[in-house]
Amino acid sequence: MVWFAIVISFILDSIVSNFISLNSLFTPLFTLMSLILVYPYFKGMIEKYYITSFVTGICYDLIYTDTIIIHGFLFLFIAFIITRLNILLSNNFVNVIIMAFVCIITYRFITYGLLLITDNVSFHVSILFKSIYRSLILNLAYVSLGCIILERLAKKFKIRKIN
Amino acid sequence: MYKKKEFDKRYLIIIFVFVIALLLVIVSVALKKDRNLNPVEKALKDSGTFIVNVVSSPVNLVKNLVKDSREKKDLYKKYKKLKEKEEQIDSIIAEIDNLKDERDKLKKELELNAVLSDKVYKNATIINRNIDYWYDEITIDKGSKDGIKKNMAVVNYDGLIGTISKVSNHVSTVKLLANENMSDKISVKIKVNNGYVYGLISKYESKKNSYTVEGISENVEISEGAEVVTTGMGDIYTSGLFIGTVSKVTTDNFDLSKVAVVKASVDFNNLDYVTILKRKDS
Repeated sequence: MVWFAIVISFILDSIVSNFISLNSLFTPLFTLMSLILVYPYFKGMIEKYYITSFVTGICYDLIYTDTIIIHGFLFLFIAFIITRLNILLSNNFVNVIIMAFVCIITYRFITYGLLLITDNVSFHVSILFKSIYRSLILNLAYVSLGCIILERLAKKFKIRKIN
Repeated sequence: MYKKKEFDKRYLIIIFVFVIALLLVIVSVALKKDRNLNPVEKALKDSGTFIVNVVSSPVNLVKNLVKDSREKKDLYKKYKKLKEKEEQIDSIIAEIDNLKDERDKLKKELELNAVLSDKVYKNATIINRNIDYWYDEITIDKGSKDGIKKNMAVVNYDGLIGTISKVSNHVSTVKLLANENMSDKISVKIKVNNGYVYGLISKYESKKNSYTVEGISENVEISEGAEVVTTGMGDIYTSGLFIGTVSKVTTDNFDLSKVAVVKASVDFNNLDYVTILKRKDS
């Protein structure tokens, strides 16, 4: 089920990008969101969760961004944040949305910082905030919907999860 | 008696600094704009893109059907417009033939092998798009096996859309002009009464779908609606690629040169098919 959720999110990233207009309020980051959704299903297998996140990041690099291993490490770091947040917060619907919010902000800040360090971007810092709010609506909706669907599937197939 | 040796904290600092330095090197190499994909990356990108493309093909099919049905609604309007244009086509073709003939003669006379507007074409279909803020790119279904090379200009029927940024064996990535992080300035010319005036595209604004052209001579009158095309200067773009039309003209902060806002001719939200242009080697 874990790989199913990640693969679906990965493909949806591509499909939705073809439908959504450029620089709109709905920038998809579904693959990143899938890391939050699948975390509870790695009960007692945190190492496996980190490896999955790293591999997903590498695939994201290869297909979508052409920035070899950057997203591998980035997704790994986000996965680390998710595990830390899960220690602080219980796994419920509202907290999943809070986690998604934190992850989007962290992801955008790190990406912008890396591009800035390597002299790849020349635009104003306001663009960073623009990129954050443009990523929030669609991805928070996706993570909420995904949370409900995975919960039901887990109940149906009796898959154990971290609460 | 054996005494357990304590780990020197200085080593820890050295390791930490080394790891940070290594990470920065990896990041700068990975994010380098003119980086070429290595063979492993190429193979994985080709196969990955193929799988994503196959899986998303039913959705794309539905998208195309919806688009077709929408276009059918405006069919009569389009027919009327085309009918009007058709009447002018014969004279335009005759004029083009005449100009081509004149150009060939002049080329022979001047012993020129190629001019700035000479180009060879390759058509391609868009198979993927990444609209993430930093990586505003599209992936097309032609790669190095089809003769595609880095920095080739990419156009569609409305005008210039971008350049090839990464090339794999069977797919390539196109960096769009519709990117607010425009680092490479494009040399353009604007049509005025007595010929052309030159400038550089410095910025793209997504809200208005327009470019800002700077460095235009102060003492030239530019009318609204004037056509803007590439000059052909530089290694990437051939001359005469349509960019858009002037919508507003102002002066810069020091009143030294004019700044034109150019409405982009391309609708970047509606890209399906593109043409890759290769400058003819001289």
